[in-house]
This record gives sequence, structure tokens and C-alpha cells, in this order.
Amino acid sequence: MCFSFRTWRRLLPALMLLATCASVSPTASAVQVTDVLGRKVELDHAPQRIVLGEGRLFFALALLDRDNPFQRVVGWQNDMRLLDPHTYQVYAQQYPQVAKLPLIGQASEQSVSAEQILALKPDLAVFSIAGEGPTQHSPVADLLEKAGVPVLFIDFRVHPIRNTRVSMQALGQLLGREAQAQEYLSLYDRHLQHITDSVAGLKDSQRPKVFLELLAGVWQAPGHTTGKSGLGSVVEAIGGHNIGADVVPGALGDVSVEYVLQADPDVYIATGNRAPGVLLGAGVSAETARESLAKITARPAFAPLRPIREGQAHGLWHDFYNSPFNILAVEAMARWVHPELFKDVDPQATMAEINQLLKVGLDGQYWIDAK
Amino acid sequence: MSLSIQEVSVAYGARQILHGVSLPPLPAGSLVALVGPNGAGKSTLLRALAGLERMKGALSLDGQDVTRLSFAERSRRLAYMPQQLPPGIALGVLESIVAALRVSGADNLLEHAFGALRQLGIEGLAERPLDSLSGGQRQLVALAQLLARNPQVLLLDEPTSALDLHYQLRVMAAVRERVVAHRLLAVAVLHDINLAASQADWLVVLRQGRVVACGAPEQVLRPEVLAEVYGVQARVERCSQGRLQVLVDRALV
Amino acid sequence: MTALAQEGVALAAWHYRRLLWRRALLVFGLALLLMLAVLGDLASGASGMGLGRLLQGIFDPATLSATERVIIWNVRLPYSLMAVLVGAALALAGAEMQAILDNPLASPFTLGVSSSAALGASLAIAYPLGVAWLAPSAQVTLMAFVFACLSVLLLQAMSRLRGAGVQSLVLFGIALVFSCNALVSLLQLLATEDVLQQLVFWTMGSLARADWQKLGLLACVLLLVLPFSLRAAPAMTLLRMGEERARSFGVDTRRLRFASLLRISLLSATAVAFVGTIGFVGLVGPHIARLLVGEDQRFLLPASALVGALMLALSSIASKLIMPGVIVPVGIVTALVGVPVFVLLVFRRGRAL
Repeated sequence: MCFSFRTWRRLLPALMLLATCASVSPTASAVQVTDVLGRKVELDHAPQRIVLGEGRLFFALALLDRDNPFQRVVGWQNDMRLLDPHTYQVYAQQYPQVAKLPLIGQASEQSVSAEQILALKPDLAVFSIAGEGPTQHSPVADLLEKAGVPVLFIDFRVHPIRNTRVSMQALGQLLGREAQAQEYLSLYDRHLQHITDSVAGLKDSQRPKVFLELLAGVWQAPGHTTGKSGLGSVVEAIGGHNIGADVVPGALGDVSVEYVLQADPDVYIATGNRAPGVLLGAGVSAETARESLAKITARPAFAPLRPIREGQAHGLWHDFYNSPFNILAVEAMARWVHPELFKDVDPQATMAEINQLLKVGLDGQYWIDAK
Repeated sequence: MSLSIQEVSVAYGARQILHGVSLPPLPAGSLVALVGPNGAGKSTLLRALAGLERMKGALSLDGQDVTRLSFAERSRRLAYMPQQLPPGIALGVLESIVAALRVSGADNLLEHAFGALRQLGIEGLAERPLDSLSGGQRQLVALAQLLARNPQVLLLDEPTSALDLHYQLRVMAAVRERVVAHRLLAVAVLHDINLAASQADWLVVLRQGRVVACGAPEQVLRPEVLAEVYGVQARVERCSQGRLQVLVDRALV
Repeated sequence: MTALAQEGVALAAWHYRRLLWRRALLVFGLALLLMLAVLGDLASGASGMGLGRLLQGIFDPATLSATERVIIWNVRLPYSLMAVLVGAALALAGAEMQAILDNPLASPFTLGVSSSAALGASLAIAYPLGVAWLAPSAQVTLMAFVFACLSVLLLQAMSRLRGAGVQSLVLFGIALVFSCNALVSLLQLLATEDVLQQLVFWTMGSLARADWQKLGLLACVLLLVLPFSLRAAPAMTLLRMGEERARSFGVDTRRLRFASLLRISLLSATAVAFVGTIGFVGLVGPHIARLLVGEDQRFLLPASALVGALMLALSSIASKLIMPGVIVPVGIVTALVGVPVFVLLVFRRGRAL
């Protein structure tokens, strides 16, 4: 640097001031958060280059960087495009850079390229603790650690009731979007608390039996359901009793048709997102959804179930199982499980509230009643 | 040189396969055929001679106790050829013989190997891979493998069973020729009684682990013996060339 | 010996030596191809870093950014070297298996060694021990190794049963594959979400688990085993001509088999424990090598190792390049390429393998 001596003399006070400021507030913008695994993740500046371990984790960012949700995303997996093409298209139209966003993998952990992640020079990686992307056990996580890239582990899937809050808070803090995060979380907490408080004192006998059939009509056999985690934990939180939790030892399992018939559930919920199952999600109309649910309930295997006989079956968007918007699933299911208790709960209104926080809102049919 | 076999017994656990087989000394320069029905113990006797079966009894070559030799030395002197043909693998003929010699620790491998091929008149096959040869040709190669080690005794287990007529005769002719040329002793298990009759100097007839008859073909091949051993009614006649022929009329019930 | 006879021997000797030279040249050629493939592997990757920059980074690390250093030392070099070592180990194990079990369909994959390793790993993933001195990831590797060795011992025991032909050994191996896979599926049923994901990830082979420690171990195993393999090669060549024949020539087939199975378990167990299930390399590699150098094990064993390494190095390149930014798991590439090659081999040979 070849400044003349006079230039130096003029700059000197400014430099000294800067130095003082720097020493007074050494790490004013350093943020430390605790992720869902209890790890401390620290950044000394708000991240500008984020890599998403799963494409669908983007929805969390959409709640935080509202005006330009893709501004920080430098790489992701292709699963969001594959699972929710309608929403993807809407985003792609508004933000053309989406189509050119580099892929770090297709839609599975095995397809993730560590080198691609590194080549994108991220300053933060956001991974889910379970799902279709790298997890804490993945060698990719170790690699990023070696390269000095911090990794934030979030979770909307394994323990959605507990971890959605932790995830959004951690992410909001790291991104310097605490206000936006708080805005969503106060909505979330308000709606969630209303439900959990109402069912707090429920005895086991007061909990209606719920049969939650995942990907009904799509899965290779009827009776695919969840155990105690994931959506199963949501059923418990809203005051229902997941009949699958009694017998499924792990996360997912196929229960026998006989078991379901003999358990005589009070509520039947089928999840789906594609044909030949229940059609729900972005861009789907109510009629289409209802028709597809009717096809599912017409299956002879579960036709004798009381809720199906009485025309009281329901359909739920399958991908609420790994989404920050799972509050909608909570409310929809709460209304089905305790209709009297929660007749004032209106997930449609909640969805409208959420849409006010999003640039591209949720637009479609995400739950459906048979009638 | 002669091979002496005395009171050889082989048992598999409780089952006795050979019951004290004894034979007169088998002289060098002769071909001995072991014949008899299935399960008579022919192959077992051969394998016992080769040292591949645990046996009780006395076995001596030129007065020397063979059972006391190391397996390597024993297998060099009493060379055993198993029943299976050499498989058609991607290995050259000369190579396969050299490989066999290498393992048994010989030297001048190439000379011995090629020499053995020439003795059998198949040196033209030297570069051919085994998988391009017919069964009969492979059997000749197997024979060359044996001869390359300069053994004193050839132990051949059904050397002709899997071969067509041409090679049956060719192999046996080759064996006879080598036996005479080097004054070897060849003991061969032969399935075909007529082949045995025409090729062998001595016949040993086994039945149920015991020797029924032993001697020159004319002495051994008699209708009574054939009836007792094989359960067939047969005639033994001389053909127009003077060779002994067994003509089977019918099976005896 | 007559003059003509001496000429005959000399000619035969000349042919023989020429044959050996040709084979040695082929092996050397394979080694050269392998080096080229490795360079290609090192030169390819999503970051676009070329070979020049990579070599510069190796010799003059200071000129590179931290990210580039991580890419070179933690991604490209380990993955590439792991592909070479695993390919060599699997193919060498496969070649020995095909020799001593007298079966052209034998390989660590087809005889259940990989599946047993997967079962061991799955048990360790699902039920980790809380011991301080052994990290969970090390437990997984160790269990995979132990189970792989157990399966080879089981195969050895089966092969010694009276009445057990070589066909029954292959059938037993197939039974092992299915039962281990079934047990792993059972574990998946019992698993929580993240355990489930780890189980699924482990059963699909991946070079991404490579690190320098594992590379060192695998290299040690290969360097330890190879000399013994070569020493046993002449006896194994003879074994290819028939068990009885080999025995009659003084080969202790029992000991040969036992030692070989020991080498096979070390090689395949280590390889599978480090990268998971990668099929077809151990099966197809030896067959391709056999087409080139024949059945002389002195050449076939090293050639198999080289072909296996080459296969996996090329598959590693393909897995990176097929979809930019996305890795196609290397086990899928070896299967997709290996199966047609294998079918081609079968049809070319026409007769029995």
C-alpha cells in the first residue's frame, strides 16, 4: 500500500477510532446457538452462503428471509423440486435463480457429493437429524467440520412438537432474523399451546383411538403407519391414541389389517401426496382431494372400520411429517380427534396467517374430510 | 523292481472297504488291471497305494517300505492319476506340466515337461490351452504330467472311462508303450473288462474288498469267475486275431 | 538328446518364455491403465479442480485455500485411493475364492461375506456400546469386520462337511446373503428414524467413508496378504486342475485352503467393513483378468487385483460425472457396468465358465 505520508496522517484518527470500536465490541456480531442435538454452533457473522442438506429445509428459510428466501442458498438437494413441484414452479417463476441452483445431491444421503458442498464455499450447512440428507453420523458432517464449515442440525421430523421451535429459533438467531423467527414461533406456540393445554389432563380412556395410515394406497401394503415418533407423536400431543404406537417398535412399520380391524379405531386418517393415493398438497383442489380419498376408503381391507363406514375418514398432506408448517397438521388432526373440544380451531385461518409471513404462500388442499 | 502288496486294509470309520488285500509281487515292465463291480474297492486300493487313503498293511517297492517315505517322495515314485479328466481351464499344455513339476520341486522343468509330451507324441499340443482340447487329449496331457516326474509306478484310476473309443485305445497304448520303454509298473483300474483283457498283462479281480482272482487274463477270465463277480453269464473266447474276448449273454438273477 | 530333439525343446522353451513375457507385459499394462484411471479420478470432481491444481496442492500446500486443501486431502485423495485398495482387495479375494472353491460364481458378494458384514455393522449401529475407548463409528467397522470373518469361517466349516460339494457351498452362500439381508431388514423395522437412515446408508457401499486411517489399515492388509498369495500361487494353479490331482502332486490342499480362506476373510472383511457392500468387483474382476492372463495364478492373482482396482477407479469417476453435483453410489455403477460385462463374458466363452 503506497499511500503518501499526508494521506496516512489524515486516515490515522479514523483508523484509531475503528480500532477502538473493534476492541470495545470484539465480537458484537458473533452468534452462538444450540441446535436440536444440543451442539453449540457459532458464527461470527450472519451466514451468506447456506447449503441445505435437504431441499425441503428451504421452507424454514422461507419464513425467515421473507423477501428473498433464496438469497443465501447456494446449494441444495433436489428433493423439494421432486416432492412439491407446484410450489417449486411458483418459486422458480418469481426467482429465476432457483432453476440454476447447484445440486449437492438428488434426494438421498448416498447421492450427496461432499466435494460439491465444499466447492460452493458455504459458511453454514443446515442438515436434518434424519431424513434424506446427511445426518450427524454422515462422513459429510465430519468433512465440513474439518473444513471449518459450521453445521446446524435442525429437526421437523423425529420430534416435531419439541424440535420445530428449537430449529426455528436456532436458525433465526444464526441468520440474524430473530424477529421473523419469533413472529412465526409466537403464532406456532399460540396455536399449539391452545391444543396441548386443552388435552393436558386427558386420561387414557378419554383419548380416541386413531389409525394414521401413511401413504395409503401408495405403499406396497395397507397398514403402513408410524410408531411413537414423527406424526405418531403429534397424535399423542393432540390428545389421541395412535394405535400404531402400541405395536410398531421403531419409527415406521406395517401393521396387519386384522390388527387394525380388531383395534376398532375411532378416527381414520390417511396421509398422501401423490397418485394412486390421497392427492393433497400445493395446487390440488378440494374436489380432487376428496375424490382421491374416496378411492382410498373404498378399499375392501379397511371398509369395515367405523369411521370409514360412517363417512368420517380424513386425509392429510403426507409431507407435514417433515415441515415447519406442521402446526397445520396438529390443528387439522386435533379437530378430527376431538371435534367438540376444538370446534373453534380453524387450520384454514391459521394457514392464512402463515401465508402472511411468506412471499409464496401455501396454496392448495393440505387436508380433506371425506364429507 | 517289483511292488509288493501285503494285507492292505482300508476302513472308513466302522465300514471296512478293503479286507486284507494281498497280491503276488507285481513286476516292472507290466500293466496290471484292477477289475471288478462297483463298490469292490478298486479305486480305494489304488488310492491306498498312492498314499491318499489311510491303510493298514505292508507296501514295499523293491523291498523298501513305501509307507515310511515322505508323501512328496512317495508321490514321486508312485504317481497317481485321478479319475477326473483335467478340467478345460485357460492354461497351456506345457504350462500345466511345468506347474505340476514346479510344485513337486523338480528342476529342469521345461526339459522334463517337453520330454514327457514327446514321449507320448503330443508335443504338437504344447502351446494349446487346455480348454481347447478334447477329453482324450487332456487325458494324454495328464499322463504326460505323471511321466514327467520319472515315476517307477503309475497308478491310474479309470483312465479311459470318460473317453471315446479312439482315445481309450490311444491312452492305453501310450501307457503300455511307456511301461515297456522305461520298465515301469502300471496299475490301472479299468471298467471295461474287454479293454483289460486285451491290454493288461495281469488281472486282479476284486469283489467286496477282497481279491477273488489274480493272474494272467486267460487264467482269471473264466465263466465261473465272471458269474460270481459280475453276476453275468458270459463266454470267454478268442477272436480271429487271437485276443481274449468276454461275451456277455445275460445277467444272472 | 538328439539335435532335433534339442531344437524342439528350445522352441518350446522360447514359446513358453514368450508367453510369460506377454503376461507380465499385460499385468504391467494393467498397472499403467490403473495409474491413468487414478489420475482421472483425482482430476474429476464437482469443484472443477483440475489435475494441475491438485498436484500443485500436494507439493505446495500453502498456495491453496483451506477449502481446496480439504477437497484434496479429505475428499479426492482418500476416495480415489480407497477405490483402488478396495477394488484390489475384493478382486484378489474373489480370485482366490474362485480358485479354492472351484466355482466361477464365487466372490465375497455372492457368498455372503458382504451381507454378513452388513449385519454386523447394523447390529453395531442399532445397539451401540457406550464404551469410552471405542467410538461408535469404530464399533461399526469392527463388528462388520468380525461378522465378515465369521461368515468365511462358516463357509470353511461347510466346505469340510462330508458330502458338501462345491455347489452346496454356493447355495449356502446364497442362503447367507438372504438371511443376513432379512435380519438387517428386521433391524430396520425395529429402528428409530436416524438409526434407520444409518442402516440404509451403510448397506449401500460408499467411498465417502474413506479416511487416512482406514486407508493405512487396508494398505497394510493388502501388503501383508499379497506376498502370501503369490507364494501359494503355484500350488493354487495346480489346484485348478483338480483337487485329487493337486494332492497327488504333493499339495497339502487342506492347508492351502485354510490359509487361502484366512487371506480371503482378511481382505474382504476389511474392504467391506470400510466401504460397505460393493458388488461385482470381486466377481467380474477375476474373470476379466482370466481372459487376459489365463489360469496361471502367479499372474492371475495380481492381474485380478489390478483389474478390480481399475474397475472401481473407473466407477468412482463415473459416479461423480453421471450427474453433476450428485454422487451416484459407486455400488450402483459397479452393478450396472458389471452385470452386462459379466453376461458378455459368459456368452463369449460359450461353454461353461
